[in-house]
Amino acid sequence: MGCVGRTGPWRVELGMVETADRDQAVPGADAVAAHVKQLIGIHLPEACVPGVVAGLEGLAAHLTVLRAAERER
Amino acid sequence: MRAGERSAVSVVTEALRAMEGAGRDLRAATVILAERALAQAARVDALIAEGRDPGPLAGVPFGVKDLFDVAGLPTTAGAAMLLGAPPAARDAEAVARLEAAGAVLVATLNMDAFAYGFATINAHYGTTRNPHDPDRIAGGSSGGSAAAVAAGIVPLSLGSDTNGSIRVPSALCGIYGLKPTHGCLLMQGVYPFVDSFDDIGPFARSVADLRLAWETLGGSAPPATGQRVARLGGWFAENVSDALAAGIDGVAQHLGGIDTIQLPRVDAARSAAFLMTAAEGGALHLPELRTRPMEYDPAVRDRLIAGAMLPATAYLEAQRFRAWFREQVARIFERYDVLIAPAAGVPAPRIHDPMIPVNGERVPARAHLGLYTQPISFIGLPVVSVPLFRPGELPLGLQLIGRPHGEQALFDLAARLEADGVIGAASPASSLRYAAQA
Repeated sequence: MGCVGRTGPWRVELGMVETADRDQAVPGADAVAAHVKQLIGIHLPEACVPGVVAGLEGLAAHLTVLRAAERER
Repeated sequence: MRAGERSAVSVVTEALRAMEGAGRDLRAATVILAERALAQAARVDALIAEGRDPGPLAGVPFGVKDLFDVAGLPTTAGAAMLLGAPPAARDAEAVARLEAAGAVLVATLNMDAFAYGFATINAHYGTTRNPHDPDRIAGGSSGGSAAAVAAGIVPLSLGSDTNGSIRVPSALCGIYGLKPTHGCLLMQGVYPFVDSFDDIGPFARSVADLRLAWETLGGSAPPATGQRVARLGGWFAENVSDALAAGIDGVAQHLGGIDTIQLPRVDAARSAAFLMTAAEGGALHLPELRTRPMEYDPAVRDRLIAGAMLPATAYLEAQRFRAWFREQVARIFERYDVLIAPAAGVPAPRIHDPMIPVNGERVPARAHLGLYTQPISFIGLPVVSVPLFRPGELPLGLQLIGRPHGEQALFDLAARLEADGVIGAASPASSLRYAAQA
């Protein structure tokens, strides 16, 4: 499988794949699929990878907002 | 009907015809229950003929979102993958209560698959069209329920609301909708999504009908103790169309000038709602996602899988924030009885371009139309969604938000604004309107 083709603040805690170079954090689809399989036991078809990654990026953004509020209060 | 001027069978026959016509054209109907409906209508007529009380909703045709159990049908929750599921053994409690009051179920209605969306863009049943402009979405996820009432096909329908799925389509279709205090209407026989936020509620074209439906479903609340009203500013005044802002100003002036207040960290409340929704929805579907992921609607599947990967620590952080946010809002309700906010910031987006503007960006309506509704259901508050009275214009809607078990104050204020002509359901000008009942 090729690379997912997206960049972003990858977070291990969200089950996303940490790479050695965070600035170039573009994991391959096979790496994402392997992580999903290990974490929740779903064999992720390649077609699903971009959508799942987009979903994880959205959740990461929401977690960032939530934690900023927690720090302020 | 009680006076014998019309029979339940004739009223229901008209509704069935409308459901087959406009209901199909609007992609609002999923299953039309002609045989069952006519049998129930005949029972109502028989009761009247015998001089017995047929109930407060005698002969009123209604539809339900496709996630309510209907005896003999698989409960699909809008998902084609469940068409082969075992049929429900009995009706959902809400359906049973309405029929016990004389109402007649005529159809199940379209929705976003598994209620995960605000647009009723359904890969199997099609996109529900807005009766006020068939080129626009009806909102979701209870879009079929809203469209059927707005078009005049039925005067009453049921939907469910987790993050705004009654309030958003009510606003976009120009009708009334109720999201009750969390946990106050029975969910037995309703396909779940997010236990922490799921509620059911009615759609109607008048405040009186909405209130009657709520009472029939088992809703009750103490009498309102006051009608101190404020409007929500800050987050709730941003990303709002000029027309809606002017409409809210008009309501405020009509009420004699009201305070504008701000809730704290609404952005985080919405984010926490997103996280809890993703986590609970993902956990609910995980067994099926493991065995047959490709049978899901892709737009829903990928979000559910992402949610299933959310760690427990993130979910618990969202829970902790919820407790804090609930406490802050409870303090505000020591000073006010009703808070006014937008239900959706803009009129219904077009089907071919289902995007909305948020903070200068165009974002998918399907995921973002709950901008103003998610922070409210996040803490379980009751809301009556009301339409600004704008005949000939695309509908815009407001949320009237109350404290827990504060429904009576919401109904009272809505009735007052309706009587004064400030809010009200306008008939669609569209040719898809069902003229006989409009």
